[in-house]
Amino acid sequence: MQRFLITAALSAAILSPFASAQMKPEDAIKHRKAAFNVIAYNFGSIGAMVNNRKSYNKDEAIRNAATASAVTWQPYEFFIPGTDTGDTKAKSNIWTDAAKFKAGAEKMQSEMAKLASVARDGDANALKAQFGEVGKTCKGCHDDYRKE
Amino acid sequence: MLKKIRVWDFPTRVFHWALAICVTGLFATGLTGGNWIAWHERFGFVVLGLVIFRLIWGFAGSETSRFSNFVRSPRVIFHYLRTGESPTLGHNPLGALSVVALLLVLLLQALTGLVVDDDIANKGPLADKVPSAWVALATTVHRLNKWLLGALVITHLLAIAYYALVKKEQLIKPMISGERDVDSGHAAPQLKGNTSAWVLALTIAAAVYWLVNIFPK
Repeated sequence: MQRFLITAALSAAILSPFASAQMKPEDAIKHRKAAFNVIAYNFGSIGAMVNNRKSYNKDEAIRNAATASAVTWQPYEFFIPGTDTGDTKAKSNIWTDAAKFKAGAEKMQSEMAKLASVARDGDANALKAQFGEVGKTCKGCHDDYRKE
Repeated sequence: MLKKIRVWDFPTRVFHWALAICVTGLFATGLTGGNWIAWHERFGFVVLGLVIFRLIWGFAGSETSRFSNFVRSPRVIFHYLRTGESPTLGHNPLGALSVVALLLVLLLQALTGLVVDDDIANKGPLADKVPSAWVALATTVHRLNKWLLGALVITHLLAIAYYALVKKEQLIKPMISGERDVDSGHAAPQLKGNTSAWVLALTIAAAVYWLVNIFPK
C-alpha cells in the first residue's frame, strides 16, 4: 500500500510538470519572478567578481553558482497559460512558440550547470568565460520573449 | 577652375572616424552580449566623451564644425533640395539634419547607458545611484533607441552612396584628408588649430573617466 502510494505520488509529479496549474495567475507571476531574482542575484554576484567589481572569492562563487543552478528549473514551472498579462514583461509568444522557449530555457540550465562545475575548479578565468556563455543564454530569451 | 581647400579640421575628422569605429563596435558587442558587454561599456564611455566633445566643438570649433554654420531654416533646406545649392562648404543644409539627429540620438543612448540594468548581470556604472524607476525607463529607452540609431546610421550610409553614385560627389575622401575640390571662387573656411581641441578632449576624457570609474565607488 505504501509502495503504491509512493508510486502514485511520483507518477502524478512526473505526469504533471506544471504542478501549479491551479495557481492564481498573479501568484504564478510572483513566483517565477522570485525564482528569476534568486538566479539574477547569484549570477550577478559572480558577474561582479569576474568583472572586478568585487574581489574573487572561490567559496562564494561556488555557493552562488550552485544556488543559481539549483533554481534554474523553477521559474519555468510558473509560465502557466494566461500569465502573459498582468505585472509581467512576458510576451505571449512564450506560449505560441513554446518549443523554442523551452529549448532556450534548457540551454540556460545546461550552461548554468556548467558554471557551477567550473566554479568548483576555482579558476577565475574559466569562470569568467563560462559566465559569458551563460549571459548569452539569458539574453537569448530576453531578446525574444521579454517586452522592452 | 577647381581648387583643393581644407573644409574639415583635424579634430572633427578624428571625432568622426573614432565615432564610426565605436558605434560599429557598440552594435556588435551589444547585440552579441555575454562578456562582450565589458567592451560595450568601454566603447559607450568613449562615445559619451566624443559626443560631448562634438557638441562643444559645434559652438567653439572651426567654422565648418559650428552648428551656426550648417543648421539652417526649412526654407534653405528646400532651396537646397530643389537646386542643390548649399550656402556652405561643409555640411549641406539637409545633411545638417542628419548630424544633429545622430548627435542627439547618440547622446541619449550614451546617457541612458550609464544607468541601464539588463536584469542579467550588467548595469551601467551609475545605475545604483539613481531611483529604480529611472533605471527601468532608461533600459527601455536604451533598447528601443538603438533601432532609431541604426536607422540613422543606415540613412547616413545610403546618403553617402547616393552622393557618390548619383551626384558624383565624394564625401568619404574629404572626411579623411579634410580637403575637397571646389570652384576657385570660394574662400577657404576658418579652421582652428589643434591645441584647443586637445585640451578640450583631454578635459572631457578625464571628466568621463571620473564619472564612470571614480564617482560610482
